[in-house]
Amino acid sequence: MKPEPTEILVIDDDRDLRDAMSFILEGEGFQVRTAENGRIALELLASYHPAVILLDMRMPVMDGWQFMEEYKRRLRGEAAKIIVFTAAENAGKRAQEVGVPLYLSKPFDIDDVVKLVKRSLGEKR
Amino acid sequence: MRLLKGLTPLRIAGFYALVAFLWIYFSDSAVSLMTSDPETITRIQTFKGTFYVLATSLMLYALIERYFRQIRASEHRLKTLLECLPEAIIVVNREDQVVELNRSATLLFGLGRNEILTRTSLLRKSIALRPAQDPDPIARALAGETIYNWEGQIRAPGNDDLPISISASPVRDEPVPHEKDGSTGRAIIVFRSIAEIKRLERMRDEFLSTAAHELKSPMTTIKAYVQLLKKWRPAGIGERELKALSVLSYQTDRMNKLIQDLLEFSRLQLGRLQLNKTRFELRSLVSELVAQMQGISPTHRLSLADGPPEWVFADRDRVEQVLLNLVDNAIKFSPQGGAIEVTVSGREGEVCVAVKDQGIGIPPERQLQLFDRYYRAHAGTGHAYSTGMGMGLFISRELITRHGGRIWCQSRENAGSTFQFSIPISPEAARPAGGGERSAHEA
Repeated sequence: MKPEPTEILVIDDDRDLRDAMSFILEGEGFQVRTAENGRIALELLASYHPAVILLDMRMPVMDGWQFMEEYKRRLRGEAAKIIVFTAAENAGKRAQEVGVPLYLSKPFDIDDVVKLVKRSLGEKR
Repeated sequence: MRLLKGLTPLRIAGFYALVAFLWIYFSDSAVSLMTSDPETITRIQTFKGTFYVLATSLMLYALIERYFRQIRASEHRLKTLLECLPEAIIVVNREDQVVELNRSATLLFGLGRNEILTRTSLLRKSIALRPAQDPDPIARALAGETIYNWEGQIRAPGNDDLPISISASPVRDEPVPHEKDGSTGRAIIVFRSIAEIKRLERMRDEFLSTAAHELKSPMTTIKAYVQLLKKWRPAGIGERELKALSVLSYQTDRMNKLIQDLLEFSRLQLGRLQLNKTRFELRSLVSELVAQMQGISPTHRLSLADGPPEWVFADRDRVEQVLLNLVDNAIKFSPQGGAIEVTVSGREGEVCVAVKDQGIGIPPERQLQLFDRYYRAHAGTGHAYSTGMGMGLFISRELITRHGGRIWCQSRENAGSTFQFSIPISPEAARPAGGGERSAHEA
């Protein structure tokens, strides 16, 4: 048994999708918290340090681009691995814009979510 | 004068002959009754002749003037019609000189009428047709071809690019063509602005794009929960429920593919498609896809022929999309199952992928339009597989063409089809392995 499960933050404005992501990742033994936009996520991140952040790009209040800017600015210590998941036309390009190498196009296979999260953790070392 | 209402040269001549005959006959008879003195007769004849010439000259003048007035009126009516047409019309000769034009043409080209008419080759210097073609529609019409609705843009002085449709035809009024190839000296060109149509098309495509985008979000959530349900398999779930979940899953994927096609289609229409080219190995991509599609249809035997690795420099996602579309079609149009053979082969300067099925094939008369947008080869045939939006092959062709490649098909009805596409090998593809490659999920 692992002493502490890996923590993951899911940022998306669709509540049902946030719940689905929680189900998917908790089913794999991760501990998941969610935020409905970038602003709320930043508040959470003041006292919370997840290993991976799954980030939607188009959200009200604070979108993915603004979140990334602010996140990088405020960052002290080790950054979380970010995975961009977006319904935008070119998911890869959106991810590149915010300097993130990992992305997932909506709609996705739930297996791909798990694979990608595990890969991001594997790369962390 | 009612008799002469529709004046023609023959009627004028006939009328003149009749009057002349009656005058000569009756005047000579009257003179012979009046006197028999030769000197008086000569005097009267001289007077009669002079009177005759004057009277008939006046009459001819009246008739011919009337005739010309009719011609002028008819010409004026035609000219007015031409002038009032909203389409710009010009007539050009072989020297590229405009010999006739209407008011709309002066507005379209932004030049004065005399300026256009008096200067040779001014037309070609002033306007540019896009896409540039050689020969362009004007030259083709001068060479004897009739062109309907050639769509492009025109750039005239002081104007931005304006979307236009050109119809052009050689003018065939000469009884004998000037040259043996059937070309005549002149051609009539009609320019029609299609700016409004293009604006509406753009609105439609924008709407399509937004709608497809909005559909994607709920589909993402539905797809995720369907997969979760399948994974969880709640206690007591029976065959019936599992079947229901499988149908949900399959139909969700189908819906996603339709949304994807709509988005890609609108992107193409709006000119927003950008290729994200990287260097990758094509055979392994095909192999992955063949394995994945085999899982979807157990009734078909999918195979990929062995061969060496084929490196290309292309947009991996787009090439995958085309492949998926071709294999998906092969499955869809061979409802009895059977073998689907995929081959990847390097040729001189290009890599070629072929997907061969043993399905229902395509009738010869429907093969030409296969790659046209909205065209569905099996529409109206009553087959179960005659559904779809008719965008798959159009999108595939556009994607392959934008890579500089070709896509084509060979098919025999009831014997199967082979769809093939090629991608040219660029210097980037030949570069030894190193930078530029990427795996499926990395940007």
